[in-house]
Amino acid sequence: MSIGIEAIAGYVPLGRRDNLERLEAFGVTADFIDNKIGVRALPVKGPDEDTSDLACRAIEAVLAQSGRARHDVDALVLCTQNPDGYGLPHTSAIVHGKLGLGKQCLAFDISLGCSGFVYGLATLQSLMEAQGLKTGLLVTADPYSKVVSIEDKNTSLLFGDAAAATLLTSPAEGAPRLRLVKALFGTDGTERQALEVGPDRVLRMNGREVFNFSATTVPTQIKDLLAAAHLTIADIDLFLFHQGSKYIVDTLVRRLGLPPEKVPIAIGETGNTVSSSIPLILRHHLAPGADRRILVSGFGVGLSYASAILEWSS
Amino acid sequence: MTRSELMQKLVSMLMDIAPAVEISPEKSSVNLEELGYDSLDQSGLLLSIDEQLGVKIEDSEVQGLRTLDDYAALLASRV
Repeated sequence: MSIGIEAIAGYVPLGRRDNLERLEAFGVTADFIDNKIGVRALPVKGPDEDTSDLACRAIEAVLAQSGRARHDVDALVLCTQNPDGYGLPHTSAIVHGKLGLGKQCLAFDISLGCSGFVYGLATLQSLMEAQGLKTGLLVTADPYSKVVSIEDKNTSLLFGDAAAATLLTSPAEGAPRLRLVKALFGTDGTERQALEVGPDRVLRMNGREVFNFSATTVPTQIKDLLAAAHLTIADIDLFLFHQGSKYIVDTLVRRLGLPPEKVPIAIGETGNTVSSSIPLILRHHLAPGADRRILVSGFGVGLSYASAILEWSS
Repeated sequence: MTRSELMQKLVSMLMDIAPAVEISPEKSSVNLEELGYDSLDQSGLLLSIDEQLGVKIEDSEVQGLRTLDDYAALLASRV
């Protein structure tokens, strides 16, 4: 049985932080905000919203969109590094309880940052195929407002809160599915301190190290992936990169020599939503035939990175 | 590599990183921020120096680098 993506829905909290109101405080220009960071406004979750609430909203949306019932769900994989409470119990169990999913439904968390969507997609697709599961949900929900200091120029202009729910089902049940057909994974734990939360529970980011990693390791992996799949850049209809910042996506376009029109940048009103950044764009490209072959690449905390080729199949 | 060659190399790197900013060896004493470069462009320049000249400039050395002359002075003994 082959499994693929049937639908994706997102949840973006209504709270907003306007970056253009903070130019003077951080000594930056509107041009820097628009053309380098690329983020004008950041969504911020409400004080009464927790990670599981963001996840539940995204799941409710994707189930409504696809006409699926909660008791249909066989598997729930939740990717976060900012769980509810103190991380025990796992947030997927909290989501399972809040939504009243069936007791036959497996549920576990994956602890990854910006590479989480690709890792999670590969994990859930493989698990469902191996175990004969028919309906699975991959939920990315990593609200960085929990750990970002609003006074930190490196991070507080960049990260936004959001969640995305990706529904995986069997093509036998209906329309064609977008399926992961080839993926490469990587980790460089020696550079893990480039992005870390300290004892004060505040995120610190070494922008130079993260940039170097994104500009060198990621293009190499993408070239390796294309070679392993016997494909060239021309064979890919759409490149969906983790939206680390506009500058990082622009850098990938430049260093890989990609046609800019094949590389969407959608960060202006959401910011860097960590593992949700790829599915929040991918949801707009789920019409079969429009983009026949899509390359996705996520990279960040760890330093962890993963790239995959998705194709339509029925 | 002569100082002139080094300066031309640095200018070429910056033109690749930020084509919209006007730069030339004649502006080597002007603060790069005043010319229109920002912290992200600096990260790009440091990576280009590492990749193209084989010189890794440490974080502790970066703070003193404000002009192309500063870069050239630091790199003179290493390339």
